[in-house]
Amino acid sequence: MLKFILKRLGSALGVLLAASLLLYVLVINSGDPLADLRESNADNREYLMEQRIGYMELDQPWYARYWGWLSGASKCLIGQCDLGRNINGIEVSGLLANAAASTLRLVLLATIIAAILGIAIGVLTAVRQYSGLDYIVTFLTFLFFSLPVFWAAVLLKNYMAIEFNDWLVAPDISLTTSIVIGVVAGLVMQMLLAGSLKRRALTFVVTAAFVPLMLQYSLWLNFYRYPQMGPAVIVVLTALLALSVTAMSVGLKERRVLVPALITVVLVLGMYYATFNLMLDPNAWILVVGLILAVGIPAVIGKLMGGRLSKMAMGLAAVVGFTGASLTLIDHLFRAWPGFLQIKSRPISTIGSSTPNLQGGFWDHFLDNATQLLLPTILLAIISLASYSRYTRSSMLEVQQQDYIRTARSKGLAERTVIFRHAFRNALIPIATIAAFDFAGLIGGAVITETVFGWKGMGEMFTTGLNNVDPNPVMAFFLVTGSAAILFNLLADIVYALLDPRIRV
Amino acid sequence: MRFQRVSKAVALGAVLALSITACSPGGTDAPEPGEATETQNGGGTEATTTGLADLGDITTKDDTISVSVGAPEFISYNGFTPQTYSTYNSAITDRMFVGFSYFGTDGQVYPNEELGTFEKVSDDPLTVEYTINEDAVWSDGTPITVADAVLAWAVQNTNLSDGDSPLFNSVSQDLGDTVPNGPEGDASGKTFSVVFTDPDPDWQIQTWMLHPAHVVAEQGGLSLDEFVEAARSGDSDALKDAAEFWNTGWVTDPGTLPDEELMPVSGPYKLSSWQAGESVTIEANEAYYGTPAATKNITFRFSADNTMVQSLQNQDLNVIAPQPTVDTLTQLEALGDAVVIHQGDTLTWEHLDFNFVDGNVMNSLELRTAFAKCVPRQDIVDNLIKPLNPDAQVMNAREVFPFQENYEEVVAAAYDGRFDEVDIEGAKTILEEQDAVGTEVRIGYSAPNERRTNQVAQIKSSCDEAGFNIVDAGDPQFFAPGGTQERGDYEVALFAWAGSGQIASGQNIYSTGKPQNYGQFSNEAVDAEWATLAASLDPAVHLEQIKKIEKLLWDELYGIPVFAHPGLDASSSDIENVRFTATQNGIVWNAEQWLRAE
Amino acid sequence: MSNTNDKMPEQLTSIAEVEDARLARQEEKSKSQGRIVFERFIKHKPAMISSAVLVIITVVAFTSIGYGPLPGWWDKSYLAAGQVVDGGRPTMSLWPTWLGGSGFAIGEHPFGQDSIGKDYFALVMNGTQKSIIIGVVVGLVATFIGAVIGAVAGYFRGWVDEILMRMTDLFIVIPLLVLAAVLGQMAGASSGSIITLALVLGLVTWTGLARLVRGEVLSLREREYVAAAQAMGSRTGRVIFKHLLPNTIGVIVVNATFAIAGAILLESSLSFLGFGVQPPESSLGLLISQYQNAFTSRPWLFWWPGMIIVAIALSVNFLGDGLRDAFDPRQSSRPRRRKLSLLNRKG
Repeated sequence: MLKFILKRLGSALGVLLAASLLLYVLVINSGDPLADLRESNADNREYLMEQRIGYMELDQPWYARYWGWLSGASKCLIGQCDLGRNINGIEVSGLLANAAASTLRLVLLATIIAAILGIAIGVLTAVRQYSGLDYIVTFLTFLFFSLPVFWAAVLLKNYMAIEFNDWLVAPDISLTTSIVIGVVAGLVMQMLLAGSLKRRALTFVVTAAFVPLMLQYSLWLNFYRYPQMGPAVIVVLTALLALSVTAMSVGLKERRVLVPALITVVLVLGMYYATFNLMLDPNAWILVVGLILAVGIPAVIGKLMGGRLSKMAMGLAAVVGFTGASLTLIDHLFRAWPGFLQIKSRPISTIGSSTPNLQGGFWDHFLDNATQLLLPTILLAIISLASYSRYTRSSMLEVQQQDYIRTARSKGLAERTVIFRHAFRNALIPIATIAAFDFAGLIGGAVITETVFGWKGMGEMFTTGLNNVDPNPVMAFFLVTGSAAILFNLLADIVYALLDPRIRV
Repeated sequence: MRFQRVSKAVALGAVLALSITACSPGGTDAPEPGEATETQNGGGTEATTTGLADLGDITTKDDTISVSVGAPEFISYNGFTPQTYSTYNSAITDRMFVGFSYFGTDGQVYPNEELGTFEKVSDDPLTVEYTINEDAVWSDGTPITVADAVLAWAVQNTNLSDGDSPLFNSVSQDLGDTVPNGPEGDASGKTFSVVFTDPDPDWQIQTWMLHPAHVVAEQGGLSLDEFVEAARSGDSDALKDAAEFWNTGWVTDPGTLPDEELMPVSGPYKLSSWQAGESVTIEANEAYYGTPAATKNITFRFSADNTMVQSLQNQDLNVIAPQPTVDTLTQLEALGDAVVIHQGDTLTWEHLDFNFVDGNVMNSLELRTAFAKCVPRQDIVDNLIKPLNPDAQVMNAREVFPFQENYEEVVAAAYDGRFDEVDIEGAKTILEEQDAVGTEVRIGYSAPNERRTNQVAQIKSSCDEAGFNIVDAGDPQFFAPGGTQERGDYEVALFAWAGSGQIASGQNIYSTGKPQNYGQFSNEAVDAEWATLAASLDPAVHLEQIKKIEKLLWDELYGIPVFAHPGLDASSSDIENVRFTATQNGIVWNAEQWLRAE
Repeated sequence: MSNTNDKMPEQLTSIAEVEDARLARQEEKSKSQGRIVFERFIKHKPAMISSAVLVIITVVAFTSIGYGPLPGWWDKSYLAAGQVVDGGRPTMSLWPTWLGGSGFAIGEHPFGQDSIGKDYFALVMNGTQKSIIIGVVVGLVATFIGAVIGAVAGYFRGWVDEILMRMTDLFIVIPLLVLAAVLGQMAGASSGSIITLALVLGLVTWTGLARLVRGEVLSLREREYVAAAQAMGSRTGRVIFKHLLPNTIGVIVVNATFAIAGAILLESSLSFLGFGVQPPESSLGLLISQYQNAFTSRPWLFWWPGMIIVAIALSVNFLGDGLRDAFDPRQSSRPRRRKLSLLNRKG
């Protein structure tokens, strides 16, 4: 295995080197870096040109310029990157750090959401191949996939930012609208839950009646400006979750699992009050530690009380603990929302990754970052949804034809067990590869999203560099994306080898 | 604030303006009936001159106004080096530094008496005496003195060099020879005088105040006196470290501002925060000795042009300077009363220049005349410019713009209206007489530029009727080395110059052998008139010379002016005192007066 | 087969023989692989609808304003400016009178006009033509290069494979957008024609297919029939092009369709960034990026090109999906209708 990795790494480095040479030559020949000055009528035009020729080393032959770049860049191997300066004399390594951080923040969440949702959709559509649901979901994912990003961004900004903000000033949903929403929700729910005709009808009626009522009730509460949840709701929700997951997995009679889950519910309530003041103005560390404890403590309880079923008990208790902690977090966000609206009356912004000079406490900044991330994340996620869902779907379909799935079915296992225990796990193998590639691609591929939402990330650095025929930023961009591509490629191979016992390297 | 226009290097801004129009999609469009009229000034104090309005007593309001002039990132506190000089950077730094004069909305030069006064005391040699305001201090409390003027001079003095290149890496380079002694006067005092070797018509806009000398001196390991002494005596070695600091000391990684003590300001605002890639916020300078800023914080956000209108609508931005396109305008109009649209001409003008290179058909005055007769200038303005600026008109001069005071006077003296109407028959007659029917005219320009493509299309449909064969020779490499322009493979070049606010800058364009005389035009009379202009300091003489030169250029047909580029800005209607300007300073030129209405 | 048609009439004596004959006839009708694929494809409803949509869009785009010297049935040119009528609003109306609309009408400018009065229908059709050309050329170039390189690498293995695959890596390592933008800018600078741009895009998008074909060929070349062909002394080129590539046709066709959709979208991204098609040339991507700001002021300028690009990309994707199902029998089997619902514990 080590030999395999080293060999792959070696050839990858060779490829990277060759690619950097190719790209460097391409970039410096892609245009005229003095173009703007040539149309200038400044007295000192000639001088400015000379200056630029000097500091961009335009008078040097291409190999000398490339060598200059390479010798600086190769210092990265010993941790002293010198990526040169851009056309404005700014050190590229500083630019790169900012750009990479910004881009990562932008794409990480979107990729995770896209992967989770996409895989879920893929499994669902594979299981219900050629059903109405399959067609509609396939249509939607393809539709999203086919959207030109900047075109969709204009729509998103208009409806989800401008109109939403306008609406939020005095939230109102007319009765007709609520009923239409209810009907649509009902149709979606019956399609999702499926079952016999009677069952579907029941699902539809219940949803179609419940949703409009909730909408009107929320308006009456002025929920959108003053959202509230409170400990009672948290406890009811976590308790329901504890009961239903236990019921779905091992059955309510299994006390060794049920009791830890219910203890966790009590703990959640206790912690809600215990941490209340702390959570009024926390910091990121408190949240992280809290979350770890919220998962860890219930898991330990599960382990201790679960006996034969300790694994199951651990898992379920941890899920309940996590949900309880998340709900507590949301409760505090709800509390902070009215104050946040005071300092940022139009919460959803169309540009930037945060509001400049925002006053306020931790939650205000948290909400600010979240609302700024919302639109680009939605956009990126729905666009990459298609590849995940399609690959998962075809991978699932392929796996389902395999003999071991037939065997599993023929020995009478429940369909759910067959799908999740046997089919899904194996279907995940090729998806891991795609996820790795996709992520590497996203680092450099969010160019347009960055531009339309005014985030200065990697993509922006690249396009600006290319427009100025300024090789250093472009090469820095390449260094990151190229290395990421190679790294993830390698990672995918290794994961593949580990996941699939048939592959021996 | 007062703008300090970066003396002779201003035109770089022009370049940016040019490249902006070049990449503006859909920027070139024809009229829609019933287009809105110009809306100016969303309340506040009405301006009576083209200079800054007097707002009376001002107390700084604790508020933030967000503005975007474009996507490019802030570069540096020192925007005076070739690397850092850009209109985008200046939009921010100009709020922090004042000069002795500034440009009004029509390009007129106004003195800035908050910093101090100046007076011409002698014509020969040209001597100007400056007096710095007694109260004028840097934001760290250090008084602004003659030493600061010495720094401004040293920076532009190429005689200070390390042998190969000037010590100071500055965009402006000419003061070493034109003012060999620099600012004369007690370094710690408030008055100094400068003596020019040759008369300089543009003496009023020379830069005598830039950065804090006490900071540069200290960082260069010198006392202020040592620094002034070294600069005046030309001791390059002693200044080396100080110059090095001036060149690079203020260049920081994006998002990190230099230490506060390194960047005191002389203007109404100082840098307060910088979020890499997204915004820079400037904050009112509490130590400012002049009229205080009306609003405490101005945030400059770096957003792409096509995102600006939605951001304005969502109130993420309060003032925007988008690309002037018909769609942006209609989009803004759709926002109704919520925004105020600022439209007008800018100091950049489009023109058709002939190629006088040996052997080119355009060496014939008859053919130039025939071409000028068939160019549909009015149609071009009606179709392409009026939708953006209802007041646009065909431009009939080169050195003055239609919105400037003496435009009518100059045009009346120089141009008799002979090319106002398209005269296909007249052009045809000339071509037949010259036996030149079917002459190929390649109109070259820097492509892609949709507006120019459309202009050429309009010229073609008109001039082809007269017997020319117009060819669209637009090319991305038009101005590149070895490109169309350099090879001379064109008959007519279509491009724009940006008015620099200088009086004598045209000499470089129209005189024999000058670097910007791309078409190699040569006329002794024109050369002589320019020389007279450049040697005079009398505005009356300048005006007379301009009239003569314009007349000669019309008679000889150097080229044909077409129109002034339209400008477009917009602001939320609750922001007062936002005023359009034709200069490249852009909408932010009076940002220190902006105020959100209660 | 022993029973042949000519013998049958006289020998119809016993039921058994009748049965035999019936079987034989049926067997005669046994389907070729292509036929099976075609029939499966025909059954794939979304793919069929998509094909229809694509055909309609293509036919309308090319016949309406004509192509090159060929005239079309739409009398307005996408080049001619004109009088702007009613702010350039579309004159098309599909809303029947009995619903309060103005009845069905096409009008002078069904898609409206742009700001200098050009007919927007003609403009959009011109853009559609160019986008389709870009898509198809990219698809063809990428498919050809990818298939050949993949097949050669897979067939020869060893150092040839190594070199070709490292070359492929080279193109994978440099982000697609970077290559396309740099080459596009260079191509745009030299000629600005859309064909050049399409060729350039084709030259950089073949890598995915090359890898897939290589994988297929690696396994195919171990089959007996390939060994047989080699044993009979077939030339290498013949083995690759006659025996190997046709058997990877499924992968190739499916990938080609996705490449077309990808190319059309890539072109729109490049045009947005200013590295793609340059005016006065036109494409749907360029139209969208030109009029993205017309959303609130002149929405028709925003919606038409956007809708058409989405329609094309969507149809091509569905087409590819249908083809994949058709070529890959493992995926096209009818589902077992089992009761399963994820949220329902009965499942």
